[in-house]
Amino acid sequence: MQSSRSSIIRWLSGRRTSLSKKLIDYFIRGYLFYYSRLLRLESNKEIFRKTWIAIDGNKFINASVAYCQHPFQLSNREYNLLVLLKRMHKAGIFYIPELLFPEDEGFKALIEREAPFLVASVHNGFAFTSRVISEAGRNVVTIAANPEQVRRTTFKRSGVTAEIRMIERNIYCMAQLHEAVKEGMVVCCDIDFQTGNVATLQYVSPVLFKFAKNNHLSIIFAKYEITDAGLVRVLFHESDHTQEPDEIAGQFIKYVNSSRTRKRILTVEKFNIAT
Amino acid sequence: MNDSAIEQKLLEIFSEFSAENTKVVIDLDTRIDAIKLDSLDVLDLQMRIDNELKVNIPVDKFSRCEDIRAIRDAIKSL
Repeated sequence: MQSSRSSIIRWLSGRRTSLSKKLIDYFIRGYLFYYSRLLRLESNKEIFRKTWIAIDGNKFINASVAYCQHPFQLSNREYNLLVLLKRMHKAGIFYIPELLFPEDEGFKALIEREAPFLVASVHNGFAFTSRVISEAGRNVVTIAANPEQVRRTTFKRSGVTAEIRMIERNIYCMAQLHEAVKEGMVVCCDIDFQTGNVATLQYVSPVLFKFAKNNHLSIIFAKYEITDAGLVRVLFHESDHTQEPDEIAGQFIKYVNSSRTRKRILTVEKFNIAT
Repeated sequence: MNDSAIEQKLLEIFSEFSAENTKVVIDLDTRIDAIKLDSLDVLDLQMRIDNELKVNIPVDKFSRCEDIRAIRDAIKSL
């Protein structure tokens, strides 16, 4: 009895997610059709801007996003931006999000340091930290389970044009990362992950913080916010690297969730398969 | 360092790593994946080999070694 009730709840929840996703997709396609075909706006930037404002102010869309389970635990705006850009690219309307670079002296000093450092972030479907750091003139290295797929999709969608060194995630990745760091490269990595039986990326691995401590690298936390106009503001925060890796990972989770209305459920866990 | 000294040192290093992880008995034919190392262990292992044997094995070469014998051969070929 109990199991049949929970299967019905699971089925209903799955249907609700699927319907919500479809509803959001129909709205976005509708807006895109309206601005690109009916109003015939010529600039892709303008199509994006108008569509973004329409989506962001649409109560049905924002209510539906709450029911869309996404592995990355995205906020409403993060989810809408990802879906809109994917839909625009499918429709042949190529647009890369505009970034608001950090203007503070801390970021400038960080980039001008000759020493390598680690920038840690969580998965969100984009690679904005790699783009910011590489456009600021530093060579970037990252680790990915499937480097070619990341290059083809995430980098393209994020507007990464610089040559980023990609290291495949396996037991030799830290040794390769060590070589890259010796060359002065900046490490930009998403450090949240999932295990086989959970649908979302719920864990934060302290392994890269341990690597950073062992190699005397500064540790930078990164996240981004999306403005009302659909611009992406990348935020950085330098961590206290004298703490233990697990404590730094705990601080990282707090940083990721600060100023978010929809908190990500994250716990510190060592990723013990490959990294 | 002669071949026998290299072998001896490698077996000593791998025995220490094995003791920490799996307690697999180490000989030249022991496969690297049998010791259940994670990526930080592999980095530590490679640095330890480089430092103690005064060599510099490129990661690409190191990652192609399936067992300890292959690492010994890679060192001899440097």
